Amino acid sequence: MSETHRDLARSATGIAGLDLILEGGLPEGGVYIVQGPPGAGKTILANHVCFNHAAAGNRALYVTVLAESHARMFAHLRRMQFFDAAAVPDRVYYVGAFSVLEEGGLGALTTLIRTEVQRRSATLLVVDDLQSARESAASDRDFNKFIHGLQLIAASVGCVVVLLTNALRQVGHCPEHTMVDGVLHLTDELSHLRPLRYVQVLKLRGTAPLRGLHSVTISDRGFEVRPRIETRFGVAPFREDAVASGARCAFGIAELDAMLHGGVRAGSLTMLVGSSGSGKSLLGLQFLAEGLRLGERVVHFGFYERPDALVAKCERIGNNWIRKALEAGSAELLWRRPVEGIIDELGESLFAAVRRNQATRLVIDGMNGFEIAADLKERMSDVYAAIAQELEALHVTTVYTVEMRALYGPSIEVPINGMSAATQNIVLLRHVEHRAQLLRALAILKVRDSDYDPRVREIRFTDDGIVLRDTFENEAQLIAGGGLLDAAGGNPAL
Amino acid sequence: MASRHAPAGSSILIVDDEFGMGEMLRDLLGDAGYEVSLALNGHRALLQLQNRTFDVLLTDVMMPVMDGVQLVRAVRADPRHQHMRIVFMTSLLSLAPSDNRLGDAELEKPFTPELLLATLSAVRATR
Repeated sequence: MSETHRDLARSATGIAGLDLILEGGLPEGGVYIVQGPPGAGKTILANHVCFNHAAAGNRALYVTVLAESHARMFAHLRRMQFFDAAAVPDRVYYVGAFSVLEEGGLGALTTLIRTEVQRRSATLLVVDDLQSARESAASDRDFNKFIHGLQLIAASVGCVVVLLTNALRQVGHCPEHTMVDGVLHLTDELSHLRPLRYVQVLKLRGTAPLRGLHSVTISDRGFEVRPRIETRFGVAPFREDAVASGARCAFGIAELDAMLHGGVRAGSLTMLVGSSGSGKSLLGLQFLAEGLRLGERVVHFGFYERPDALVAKCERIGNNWIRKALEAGSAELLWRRPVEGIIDELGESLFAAVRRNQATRLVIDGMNGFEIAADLKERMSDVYAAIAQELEALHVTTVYTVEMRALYGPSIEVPINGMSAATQNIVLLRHVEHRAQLLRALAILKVRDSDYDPRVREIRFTDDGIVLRDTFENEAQLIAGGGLLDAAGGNPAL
Repeated sequence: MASRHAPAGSSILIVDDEFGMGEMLRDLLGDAGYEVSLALNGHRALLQLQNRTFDVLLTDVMMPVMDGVQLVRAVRADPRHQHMRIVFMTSLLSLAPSDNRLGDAELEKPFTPELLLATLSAVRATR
């Protein structure tokens, strides 16, 4: 960020994600266009900003031209958490101005706006909508004079002026875009059956905004913006050296910890990859339980199993550390449905949970849940890389599970891209055939910069905990699906 | 809906800044037998009230230049308009002044024509 950007006094919108995109808010004394089709959320956005402005002790003026009636607007706003009836009229004031425009043209509208901004001591002005004003202008020159008049009002009192319009124009293709200080573009579209809303900063003078599309949700919480994970997270330099020298974090399974020479490194990323039912989730829970036993704080972020099911699952293998920790507040289990989710919101809530809990251990159960929630699959490589790097920066020791597509067979395919490079450790879990039985096998595939035990072990989940056994000694091609033994029980490959 | 509700000669001044609202009320109350005048804000209403008086003042609260509460305070201070009945109409009922001496009734927008006519009948009956 340049000094110029930092020096601009900004008026925060109070919408956290939007302020992040805008480098802190809209520069004071500027005129901004918010454009988008009907239903994209312009009115909700503008009102949300007005009430945030009022909550911060300032005054806002909302001028409707040919927009919905104030009664209709309030009927919709009442269900919004940001709406505060007590702020109206002293801190948020609404006036209708279309009749004045009809009667006296753009000059009369400008006069009314200037008078009301001064009378109300408003430092935020919304004009809803600009299109009516444009249609009233006799020429482009007249319309530009109107915009210029608003610029003078904004500059003279340090007011932020927000103009809403349905007109969808590209920057450079209309004169008002040239004149104003910024243009925000809202979209509301369908991706197959999923509705998707975005905001995009097309122009913002004196600012280096986070460019591109950012997700928007509209609910009773108002207008929320989730900056794209890959623009926001993982921008810090990779600290591989810090991980390589970190302390060991044990799983609390003696045989596995011995294979890992004491455990995985603090701050590292470990992938548990395996087929459905191979025990990935339980192994992840065991990793958290061991952390809790050692007095650490932990977070479980899962897409498939609800928290109560996870607690019960732990208790089935004789482990009640998770239940105790939930009661004590040293663990948080988050369950999020990947369907219809917004990937950027999922990422934000994951990192917020780690920070909120000051967690040192994290399990993400079902990493590909992010992919299911993704609007564009093409993003995933960058998204996973950003997640990996942000976890690295948080120095939280992370175990994540990934489900292989094949339940059983010779192929091993990891269905996510972008995480592997940043993943220090990979542990494989899968079903294998042994003497006409399907058993679960565990093998360490990778431990970066450290030696490890390369044996393929049987992993058993018992009432008394998780144990590893040397059931497969001398068997070949186990990980390919089944052990090869000769008639005497020996390995024919030897 | 066009049945006459107002006694002959009943006059009403509607004050509202929102486009369409004043015009709709003007047509509705005109059909109901009122002699109707319209103003876009409190200041313009006061200009009209310098030259004549009305039986009822039906005013919005939030308006540019002069709001409804300022208008009514000015009206109440003028002896020529002591007889005038005043109805506030607002999109948020909390905006209606808490001082009962200012208004005779309040209507929350949107309201039905029936409620409006009944409210006007009721306030006129208190004269």
